[in-house]
Amino acid sequence: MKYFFCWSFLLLSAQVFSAQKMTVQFEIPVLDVNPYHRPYVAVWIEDAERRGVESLSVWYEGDKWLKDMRQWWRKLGRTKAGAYDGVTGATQRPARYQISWNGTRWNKTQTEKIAVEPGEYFVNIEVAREAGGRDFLRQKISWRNGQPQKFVLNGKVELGSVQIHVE
Amino acid sequence: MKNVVTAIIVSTFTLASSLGLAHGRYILPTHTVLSTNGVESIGLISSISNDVYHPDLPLGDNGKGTVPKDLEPMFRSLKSILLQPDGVKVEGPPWQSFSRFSAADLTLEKAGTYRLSLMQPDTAMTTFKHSDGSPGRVFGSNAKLPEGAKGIVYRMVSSRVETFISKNSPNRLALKPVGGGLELGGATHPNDLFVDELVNFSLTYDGQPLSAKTQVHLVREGTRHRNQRNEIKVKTDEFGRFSLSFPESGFYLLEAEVEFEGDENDPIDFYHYSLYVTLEVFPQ
Repeated sequence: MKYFFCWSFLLLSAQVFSAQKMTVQFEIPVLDVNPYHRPYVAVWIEDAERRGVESLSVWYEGDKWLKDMRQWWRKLGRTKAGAYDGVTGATQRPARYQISWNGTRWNKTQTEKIAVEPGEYFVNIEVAREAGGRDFLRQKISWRNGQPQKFVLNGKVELGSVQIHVE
Repeated sequence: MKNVVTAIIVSTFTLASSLGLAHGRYILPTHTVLSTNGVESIGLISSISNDVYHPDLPLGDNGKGTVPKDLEPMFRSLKSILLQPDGVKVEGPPWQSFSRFSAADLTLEKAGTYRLSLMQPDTAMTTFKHSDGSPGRVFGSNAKLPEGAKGIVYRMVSSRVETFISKNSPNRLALKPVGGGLELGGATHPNDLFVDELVNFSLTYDGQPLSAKTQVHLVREGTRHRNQRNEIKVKTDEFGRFSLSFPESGFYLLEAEVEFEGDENDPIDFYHYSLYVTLEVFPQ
């Protein structure tokens, strides 16, 4: 009985995890500036009240400048140290990149990933470059089964086009 | 001693007249938000100035600086105080005076929110009119008044000049009122200010919600380089609360003052408390 319960729970959660997927494609544009430093980038999810839910990607070099991604820093970086350890990476050269999300988040104690409740969420992408500028884009998405969505956003300087697919 | 019953009436009619009793004061930090797991230092400037963040006169000295003679007595009573993220109060950094500002360094070891203060405790200030009608003022409890002085008003003035700095996750222990004049509190954390978002603050007086409805002034940095000060004025409610949203990013100087009448047997006519807080507002 105990085993049966565990297995059914796993199956159920696996189903929830795979039911929906979101991808964010974004472009770090080539900028003709000197000096050029590769930008810091954060991609994350907020709930409908704009509370931080989950960091999807954080590219940086030194923690002293994490604060320059100020929206990400206030929503997730400064309060959930450790919760983004698994999604950090070094800064990247100009190119197109893709990041995906399976609708999970860390639980409160950061011991396991759980599925988020169906509902409205915001996808956020923030780019900050040393001796350069900052771009911040936000898109509301509906996270429910059977609602494919596509959004195209455009950054101003530090970020090129951004495509968000929910399927 | 302090007649709080008359506070509401007094504060409404003295606010207009008492604004301008003192010059503006501020502490300007190089950073208010820091992200690091290491130890980081920030730089600080303090000044007595009517132009917001353009320093005019120093504020505070460690005994090694150049202090204008008429500011010496005030600097002797000035206290540099630091409330740490654990709520523990320690001596603040030693400020050194230069001709137009004072400067200090602050090293932040703990994570959380720091409150940095320059406190001027109760100082006797007497205002009067010379026999020719021109206004005058002297400091000190035994200050000598010129012959023929008229319209003499005895005041105790006290000011609190503050700013907040957070390393990593902000917390609220250093925000708790410590008592002693006016202090800034409220639901919004002072290190979480962004353009166009509703901010809910409150003022306390001696650690209690300020019941006297009081005008709060906020001025954005850079007054020297524009023609109008463009003050944001908000009035507190009967619990000291006030709300606003910042139209632009930058450093803002928040100013508020209250005045309470001394009672009949008190040689002091008015007790005057002012608060100056530097806030940093970020763009979305």
